[in-house]
Amino acid sequence: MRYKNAKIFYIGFALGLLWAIPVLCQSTFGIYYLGEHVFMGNSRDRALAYSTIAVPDSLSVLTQNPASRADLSRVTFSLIQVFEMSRARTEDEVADLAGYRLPQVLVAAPLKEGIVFSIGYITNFMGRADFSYPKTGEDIPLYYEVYRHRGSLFTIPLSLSVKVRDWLNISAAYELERGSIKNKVRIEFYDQEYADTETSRDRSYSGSSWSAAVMIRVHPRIYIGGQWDHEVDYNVNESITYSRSDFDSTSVWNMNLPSAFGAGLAVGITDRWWLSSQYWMRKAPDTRGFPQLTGGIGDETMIGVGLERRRVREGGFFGRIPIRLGFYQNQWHLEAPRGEIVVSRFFTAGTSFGLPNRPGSIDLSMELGQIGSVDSNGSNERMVRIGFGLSMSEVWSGRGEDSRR
Amino acid sequence: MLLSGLSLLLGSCSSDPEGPIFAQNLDSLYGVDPGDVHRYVEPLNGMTFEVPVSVGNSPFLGIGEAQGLGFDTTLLQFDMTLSDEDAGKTILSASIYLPVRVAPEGTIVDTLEIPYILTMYFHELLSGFDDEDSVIVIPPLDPDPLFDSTGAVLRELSIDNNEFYLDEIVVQEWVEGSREHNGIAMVLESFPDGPGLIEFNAHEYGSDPPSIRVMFTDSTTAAFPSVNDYSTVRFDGAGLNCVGGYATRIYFDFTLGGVDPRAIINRASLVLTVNGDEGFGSTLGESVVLGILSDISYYIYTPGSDDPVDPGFLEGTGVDIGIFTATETKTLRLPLRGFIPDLIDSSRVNTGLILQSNLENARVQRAAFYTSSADSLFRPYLEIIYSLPAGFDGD
Repeated sequence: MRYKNAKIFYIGFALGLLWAIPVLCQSTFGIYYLGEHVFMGNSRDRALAYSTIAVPDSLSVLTQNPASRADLSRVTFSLIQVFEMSRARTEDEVADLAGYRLPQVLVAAPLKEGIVFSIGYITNFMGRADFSYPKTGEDIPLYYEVYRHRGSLFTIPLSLSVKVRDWLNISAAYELERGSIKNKVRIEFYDQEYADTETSRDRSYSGSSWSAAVMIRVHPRIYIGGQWDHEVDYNVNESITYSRSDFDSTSVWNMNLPSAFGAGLAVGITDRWWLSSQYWMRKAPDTRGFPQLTGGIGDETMIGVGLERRRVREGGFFGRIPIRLGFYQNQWHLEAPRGEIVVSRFFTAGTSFGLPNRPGSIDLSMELGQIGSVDSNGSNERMVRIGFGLSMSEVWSGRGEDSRR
Repeated sequence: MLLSGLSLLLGSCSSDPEGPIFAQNLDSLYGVDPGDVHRYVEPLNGMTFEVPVSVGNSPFLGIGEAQGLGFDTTLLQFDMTLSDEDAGKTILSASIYLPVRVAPEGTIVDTLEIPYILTMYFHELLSGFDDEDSVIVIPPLDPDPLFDSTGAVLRELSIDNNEFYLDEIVVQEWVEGSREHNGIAMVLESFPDGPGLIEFNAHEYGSDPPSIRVMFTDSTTAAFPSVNDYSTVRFDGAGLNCVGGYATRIYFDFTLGGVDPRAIINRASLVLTVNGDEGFGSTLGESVVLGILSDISYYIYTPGSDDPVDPGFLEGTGVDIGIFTATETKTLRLPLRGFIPDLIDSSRVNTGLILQSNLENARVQRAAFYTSSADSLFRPYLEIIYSLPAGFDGD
């Protein structure tokens, strides 16, 4: 592929992924509380079941561990878009669902060798749904209760990653925390003589936080990594508007999202085969603004393990490309119903292809698993997620050579 | 290409409704309650009252009866000004001409059609009137009817018989000014063939008006056209009747006592059932000759006062306006959606509602509604469908 044509392809691919934004999807559990927690990471991290906090990556900005970005030697752009299909079921109902997730985008620029600044958009929580129920009553014509839910809490990290020593990377980030959760319910009649009624609750969340991360090469085949995300004290502005404006109300309060930490280990079994693992945890946030969930929000944990056969330059096509496998289990903050934890368990797999004529990669991941259980939670979802990650680098200066992970 | 194709494929995948999956946790986890929908019904009695307005500009005059509306008196006033050419002439004979346009069908007896006939008297008015004003009270009449050439006073009006002898001496005196001409009243005597209405041109019709025709002794003739004419209407019907031309309105009072003060109104209606058998939308002349629709234009307002003797009772703030057919038995739901919410949130004082014909001073019409003593399906009531405000805190 000639350079000019390749550039058009990359831009087109990135726009194609962004095109998917308007049609969003998430777990059906994502309409409750703050939404479904989304872990940061590109398709490589997904394919390795988010076990990559101790895995260095010199091609992508969207790494689990921001300290890894200190190894970037070029201006690098990373984007991930996830498509998912699921079958949600209760004891009596089944629904097949398909859609897209909000993308994650980061760009990094080396300020000097071993010092990299990065900024982007990271979705933390998301929820989205449109659903309705037909209703009627005695001498009341058919009407519909129509629900609309939109939730997205995101982070804009301003991150600095530094390679302190050949074996030590650190990073720190100031993070702008923003987002909103909007609920709208309508009573809709199909008879034009009836007026619909509508109530909307808009909550906007704003706050700031910071984070720090470290990655240590203990041995050429042993890495450890860790990250600390400081708590977020969200300022929440709520407005509720009714069809009867005299009921409208506004209120302001604070909501605390506790600190979170993650730690992991990556071990090279051979030069090419690596095992990785991560444990991540956040204490239960408060339930302010969600009184119906009082006593029903617990700690969130995630544990993931992965196995990667890394890329080599020699051999046939299938012998060269990386192979990634993993498994992770994520226990949500949400208990559904109270006292019954919601757990996601996913097997993951993936691979990667280098970009022709330039540093970068297209990473593919597939997650196959289940969220919740009918017995415990009243419903479950069997889900397939397919992730497309794109990382592109542009020469910032003449220093450094291409890195290959 | 593969990736683009896959993204397009996934993008085009349709999803099933998620509602059934969410249903079990809506209250306990989602916590959003859209608010229940309720129906409130308040039976209404209704009270009719009369308003002193009447029709003065109808293009047709009528005498007789239709659907309980009695057109029992018609007032006629003529311009008795003699032209300079006829000045000084003596009247040989005089008659009153009524340009009859419509009459009920006659009866056939032995293949001979006997026209529909109304009997009436002509009385001289003792004081004048003006049909531009509201004619509320019929001016005093000379108790002695005007007689015909035979001395008889009872006149028979039909489609074929529409010109009646007048005493030429009286007419001569009107023309000369020695006797004040205040007008003539046609007063219905009886309905020999059952209720029916004979209609004839008013001067407002624009041509061929009622007139007094005279022949002078020199065999020349002259005509004196009507310049004021008016048919009075009488209505004695029971029940809930909204009558134009006679101006009967219906007042409804209600409490809304059972409506939740948090109600958000989806629909509010004044529910009335029209008794089409007793309705009257237009006269035959209006519909056949003039092509006027028989729909009733109604107007609902909330009076400025709920005290019937307060002038504010007769006017107020409009709530709804519309049309319906008076001759079709049908349940109407007259919308009050813009009004009831104001009562619920106390931004307006509840002084009730008044239904009137919007053409009560232009058309003689009658809408009859079933009353609270009718079968339960037909009784009047106030119906409000409302939602309660949504809640966001779960159970």
